[in-house]
Amino acid sequence: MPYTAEISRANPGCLIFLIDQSSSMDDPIGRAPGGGRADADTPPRKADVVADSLNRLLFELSVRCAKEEGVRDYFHIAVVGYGSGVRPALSGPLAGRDLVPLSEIVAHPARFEARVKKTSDGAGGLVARTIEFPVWVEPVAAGGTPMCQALGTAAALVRGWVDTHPDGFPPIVLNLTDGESTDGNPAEPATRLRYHVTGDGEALLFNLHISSNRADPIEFPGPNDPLPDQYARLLSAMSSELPPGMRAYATEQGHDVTDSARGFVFNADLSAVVQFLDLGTRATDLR
Amino acid sequence: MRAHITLHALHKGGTEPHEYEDAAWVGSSAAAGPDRGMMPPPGPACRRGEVGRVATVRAAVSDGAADSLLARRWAETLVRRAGAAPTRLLRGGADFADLLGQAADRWPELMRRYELMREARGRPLAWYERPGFERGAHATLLVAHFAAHRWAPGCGTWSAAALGDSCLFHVRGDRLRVAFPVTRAADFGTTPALAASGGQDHAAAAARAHCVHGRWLLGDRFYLATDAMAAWFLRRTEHGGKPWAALRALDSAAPGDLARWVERQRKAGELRNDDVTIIRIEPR
Repeated sequence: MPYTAEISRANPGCLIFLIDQSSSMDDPIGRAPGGGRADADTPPRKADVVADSLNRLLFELSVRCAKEEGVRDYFHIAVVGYGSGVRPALSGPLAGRDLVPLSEIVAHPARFEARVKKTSDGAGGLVARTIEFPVWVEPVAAGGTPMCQALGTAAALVRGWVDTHPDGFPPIVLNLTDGESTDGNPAEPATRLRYHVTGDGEALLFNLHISSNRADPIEFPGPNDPLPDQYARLLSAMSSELPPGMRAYATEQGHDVTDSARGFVFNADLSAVVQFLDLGTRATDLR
Repeated sequence: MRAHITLHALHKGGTEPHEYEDAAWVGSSAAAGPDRGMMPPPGPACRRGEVGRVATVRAAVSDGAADSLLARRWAETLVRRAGAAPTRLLRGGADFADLLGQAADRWPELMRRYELMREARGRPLAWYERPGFERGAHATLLVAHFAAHRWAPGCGTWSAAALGDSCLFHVRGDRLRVAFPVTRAADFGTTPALAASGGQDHAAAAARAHCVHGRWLLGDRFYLATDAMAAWFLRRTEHGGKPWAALRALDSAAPGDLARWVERQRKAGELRNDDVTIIRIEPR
């Protein structure tokens, strides 16, 4: 059965993030009428949302793979930015690197920033606490949207990975964009990217469409579900279907996914797809 | 009563022995203090023993959730607590939930000591450990209790309680009499019910806990196993096989023999690559 290969240190997974850094990412994110936080008058910039989503995802992945002896290298990770060029987008000590083992990601954030987190005070209330939050990717918004070139760069990384891990879980490419490619139709390079296979299945391409459109968020639509604009339709069509194991876990987690649900979200959180990956017995609260 | 006991434990392939995250405990609830345990908590190993002249035999296995930071410590806490618990705490879901609650009550103090130990060793908790440390750990728990009949030789009663997918199998002759709490190999998944170190809703834990009891006769065998081995056992049985026969061949196995046998099963796709823990108890 495809997409059942074990993800472990001996057989690590490969995650490639493509982040749109074009000038249009300077625009604010769209919010559905009545949606968003009441205390935020101005919606954040798309570039800020994308960088923050990715930093949170890397943080969660680090926590999920942490054990007493350190962080286990269950994943190798690349972050590629595309805007005024197509290049590795990790900042700080990892600048210029492409695929990096998770333990190195953990060891070398670019910086830490103080964030306020509300936690239980043990007496039914909440208490605000300042935590140090690691940052690996900074928001950038400049240049065009060479998505085809970015997908080609991802395909080269995918090819190298499947050559050296022929029986492993297929690489997963997660593309975070506002959808308007400026160097051609991305559907074709997306298809070529998925030609690369391991014994466990073809490479997976998932898309997060972050848009100024004020339509409601959408998660993992079926192929015939209505989508708000042509860019969303294109990105959804070029997204891989969620593999059965990920779909089953998504359903357990309360996501409404059909058998042919796409790995596509619109103005929603894509980090869930990484949580769908099976690393062994998962904690589920009985609360 | 007397009992022949064998315990096999092996870490997941591709990991180091100290990364084993199951836990097992075998002892007599009638003994006092440190003498309760007949076998030390296992690292990856094969252990066997013959025990005699004890009033009861108690055994427990636990499987720490892979995404918990301190899964092994919590699994060990659970099996030790289960080993020491009064028998009444194994009789019903609400009582078993009390037992889980008592184990969770001990966790904050254990964690306080753990944090101090890390600081004393010059390795304070790192930012990537802190959320998992605060979130706590999760694990399954299965505990079984065996008692001899008061005056009739060669028979007695047993009871078991479980939360999650660690299993007990009762074999008589060449027949599997009881599979508990999972009864079909297809029912194993990655999200079993788990005991939480941070405590959990008592009613929910009680509702998801399972209890069973029965009688044993001379020659009966009981197997307590964590999920990978339990799924192997059930799958073999469903296909008409007799997994207990294969396990009997391992009775005299050295750790190296066990590792080779497990590796063969894993390579053949018969056994999922996970920590392996199985206890065989043959009351006499």
